[in-house]
Amino acid sequence: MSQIPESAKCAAVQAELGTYLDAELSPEQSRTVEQHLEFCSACRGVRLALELVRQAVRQLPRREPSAALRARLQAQLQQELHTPELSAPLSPQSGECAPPAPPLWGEAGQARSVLPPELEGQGNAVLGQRSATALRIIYRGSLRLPPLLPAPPGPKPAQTIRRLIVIRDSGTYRQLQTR
Amino acid sequence: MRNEWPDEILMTRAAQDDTEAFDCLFARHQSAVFNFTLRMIGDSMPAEDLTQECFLRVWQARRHYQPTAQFRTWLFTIARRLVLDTWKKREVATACAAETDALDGRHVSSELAAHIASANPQTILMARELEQVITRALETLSEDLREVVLLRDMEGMRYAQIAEIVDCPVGTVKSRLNAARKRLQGAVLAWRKETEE
Repeated sequence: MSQIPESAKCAAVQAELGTYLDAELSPEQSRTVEQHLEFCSACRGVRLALELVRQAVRQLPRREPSAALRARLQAQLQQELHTPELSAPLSPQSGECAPPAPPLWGEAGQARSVLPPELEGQGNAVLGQRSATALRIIYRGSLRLPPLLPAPPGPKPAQTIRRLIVIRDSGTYRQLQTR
Repeated sequence: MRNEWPDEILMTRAAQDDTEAFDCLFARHQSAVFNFTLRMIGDSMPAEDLTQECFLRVWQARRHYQPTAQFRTWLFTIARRLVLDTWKKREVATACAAETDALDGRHVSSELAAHIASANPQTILMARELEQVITRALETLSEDLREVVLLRDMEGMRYAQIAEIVDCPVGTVKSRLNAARKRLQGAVLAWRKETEE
């Protein structure tokens, strides 16, 4: 049986050293690495250098966010608690927004399910100022708004916005932010 | 007592609108999320905004949380996606400039602070230089390399967790870590050569 050259062994061990130091190798693989390190000073040197880098990253200074962050978040939570939840839910598994909800104004049935009766059928008009009962819509993600109302003459492409916030502001509705 | 509860229990309570439970989660993880976003984005103000947005999203999704999912992994998945969104918005493909303001004793990790306190001025200087070398080297890494190093070495996550967060196989995490560490090692070696000359 042919012997594995030492250089090949070193290369194999060095390729696994990071995983070894991270304790992600199986016990058997770890033993193999340790046995090699016992007699190979070159690989011990590589391990030391690697340890130094790992330690240096681990010991990078950690900064603390400002104390105001907590207060800002708490204020937001209170606001969230006292407003209807219409936001697209996040998926705990993926960490991203669940599949975007159908366009609010794109399909009549969808739009009417979230709007108060007095705003039903208003389509994009909800983006203007209107007096109505409390309503808050927060939508994150891409939202495509094809026009529901008869399109004015001339080409008018559907508007794409990334974020839409409609809130009641002193008895009127106001579009806060679109991007 | 709440402070001793596992994340998953706190999150289950938060799902029932328990803001105190959520506040415990925030207190426990805000620093980690902030430091991760700070190292990825390189600027403390956006990093703080992202931290806030991250926890807000967790709150908004509280009723959909499944206790089978590890909270920390989920939290960092959200944080990472926010970072990526920011990168896209900025249209910056390479590392951006990080804050290189002078070190403040309050910001130094307790381990390093103890080490520094017991060291001589030469050692302190070397430690700070090394830290700057590593910081700069991290900034030059592509984000896919940088994030695995931060999640592994700063946050102490397992490969499987990182794979879940960055949505790639464990083998890819391993190879990215190796590549990133080689680059960091190269930077440290270059610095040592400089200092020895």
